[in-house]
Amino acid sequence: MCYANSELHYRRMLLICRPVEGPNRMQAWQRTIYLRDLLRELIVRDFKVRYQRSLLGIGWSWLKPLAQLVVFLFLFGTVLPLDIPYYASFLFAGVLAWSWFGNAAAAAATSITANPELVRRPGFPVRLLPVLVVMNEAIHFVLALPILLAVVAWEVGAPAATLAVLPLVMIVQFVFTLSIAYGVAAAHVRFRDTQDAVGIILMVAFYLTPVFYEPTKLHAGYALINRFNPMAVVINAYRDVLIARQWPDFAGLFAVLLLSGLLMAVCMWFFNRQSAGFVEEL
Amino acid sequence: MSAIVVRDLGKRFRKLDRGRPSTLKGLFLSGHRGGKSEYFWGLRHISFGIAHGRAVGVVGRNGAGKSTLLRMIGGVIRPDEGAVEIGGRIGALLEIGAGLTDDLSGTENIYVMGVVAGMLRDEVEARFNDIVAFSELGDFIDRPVRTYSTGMKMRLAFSVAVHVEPEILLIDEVLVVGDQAFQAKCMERVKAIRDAGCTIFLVSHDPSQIRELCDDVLFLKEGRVVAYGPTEETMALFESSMVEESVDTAVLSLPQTARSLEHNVNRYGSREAEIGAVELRSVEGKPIKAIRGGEGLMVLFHYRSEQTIDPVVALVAIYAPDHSCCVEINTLYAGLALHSGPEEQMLSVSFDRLDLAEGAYFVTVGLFSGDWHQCYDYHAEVYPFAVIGDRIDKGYLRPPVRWSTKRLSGAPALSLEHRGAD
Repeated sequence: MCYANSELHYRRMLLICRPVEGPNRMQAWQRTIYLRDLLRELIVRDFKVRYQRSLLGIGWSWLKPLAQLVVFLFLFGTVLPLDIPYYASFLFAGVLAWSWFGNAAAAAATSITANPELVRRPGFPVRLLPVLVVMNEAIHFVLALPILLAVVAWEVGAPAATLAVLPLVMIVQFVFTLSIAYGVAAAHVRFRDTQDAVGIILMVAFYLTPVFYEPTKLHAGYALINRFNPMAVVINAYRDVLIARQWPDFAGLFAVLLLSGLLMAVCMWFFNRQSAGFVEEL
Repeated sequence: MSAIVVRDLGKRFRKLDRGRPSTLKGLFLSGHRGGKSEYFWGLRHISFGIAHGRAVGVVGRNGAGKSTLLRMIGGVIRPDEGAVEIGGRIGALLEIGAGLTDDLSGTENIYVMGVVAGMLRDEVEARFNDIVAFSELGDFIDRPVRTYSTGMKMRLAFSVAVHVEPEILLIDEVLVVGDQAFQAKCMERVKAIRDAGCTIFLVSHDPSQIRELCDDVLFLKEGRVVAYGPTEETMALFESSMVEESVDTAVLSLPQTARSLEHNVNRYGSREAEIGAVELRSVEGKPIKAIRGGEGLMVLFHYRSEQTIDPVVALVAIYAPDHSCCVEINTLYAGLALHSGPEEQMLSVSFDRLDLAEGAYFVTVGLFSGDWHQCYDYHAEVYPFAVIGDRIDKGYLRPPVRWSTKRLSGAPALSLEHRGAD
């Protein structure tokens, strides 16, 4: 008995099959554990692949910010002195925070397109891929943090109680970076030159962010940069906590968090809309 | 409760990506006109249900929508119409080997792939030894995967994939991994998973695999369900439709047009008597271009001559793709008295069954004088037909076979010692 007529069979089937009962996913708790395991394995994988076969190993993660640090230190500490107190610490905090953001935003572009085998896998949470990229860069930030603290300790002195809110600043940066990462990742699947556009935008953004200079020192009008640039708020918060040893601009951080939430909602919406077509576009 | 319920599922695809910019540059240059894309339905009005523990195979030509359906059930592609309901944890055997990381060791890869495949890390850990044992990689497991051969990589990937213990297993054309022995092992493993109560949804081009594994078969054609039912009946329907459609299917690669007759190239003879139209038909008399192995074939041709010639002998032969003659028969040995005259005559011969191997065959026909001394007309390997079969084995014949074994207890042991000629 072949059901040669699918309409007929459909009716038969409706009699046989009641709607699937109960939640078809794992229990929420188990799902959380699973996502944690998955993220951990992927982070470890990326980390090992990146450093396992290299001579310097993890040293590479320090080399790029260190090189940047040396260049800027020479340029704006000696050649064109900017007269910023504790310039090495100031610069290091800026460069490290920016590296996390910039590298993650750039890597987010290919986070979907570079992992077709994961995207095509039934049940794989594609939403995890931008998180993975931001986490990978966060790890480099964390690994470099001891050096930053050492530089600060040497230049400024022993850390103050304000250091306690450092994790808070990091969380704000994480959320902001992630919201950008979602937008970039989804856009790149649809428009394959997003990567190039992001590169240019990041380059411009780097100079519009007080990574190696202090805008208010030049002209009061430039304070706008500090005020309306989320990364400026974040970087200044790091400096407040580490160098000035004062409480950061909580209102500003909260505003960034709020903005990130909003941006995240929009980018997630875009990401979800695009993700329906990821498999077809890859 | 069903494992998979698919209701009126539909998925459409863009015909051409023209008019839809794929770069930001293109988007700005096109001024956001966003040219209208044309769509076609790759799959539509698909409805079926699979009960828990059933194994369902999906068959259909290339482009029938099998893989799209599988991916929609897996939740990887979102449907444009209808819905899929899944009642259980999904595992998948797709693109085996795609997720391997070359720079990591086999051990590290097992953890990454196991978790990616849907296991918790603890679960991978618990099954680690089984996975390694199944992969037969031994000490290689601690070496980087980049040093593995392709077969070893496949074995590793497959071993992880079959240890997920899903409730619903999606399989897409992957049961051809490694050597014969490992393939058999994989098949056994999938069967064991099935027998343990897992629901299986299998896309395959290999009818023998479907017959071996599946309870039911879903037959798709051009994005619609043609039939959904028990394996034997549905496969028979599918295969007969493949034969009917053979002109525009995979058999297309076989030569299908009659070769044009050229004198002294593939046509010989004095033409005192001439062979006209030659037709190939099924035993039921339907014109065909292909048969399935084991089916019959009727060869039918017309002939006439200006003068009456009596007697004449007609010959029909079937040639294999390599020009070997598979069979040649004639009316003389059959004891058939034939003559030719101005009035056109028709002669037909029916091969009740042709147990030939898959391939492109040609029919030869000839007309000779009663004493074979004169050839009037001879069309050498002109009329094509295809034989469709399951497997490409060796040889020309595919007769129905039956293996059997018997243990000969108590019988004298075979003497294996070599006896020299002395």
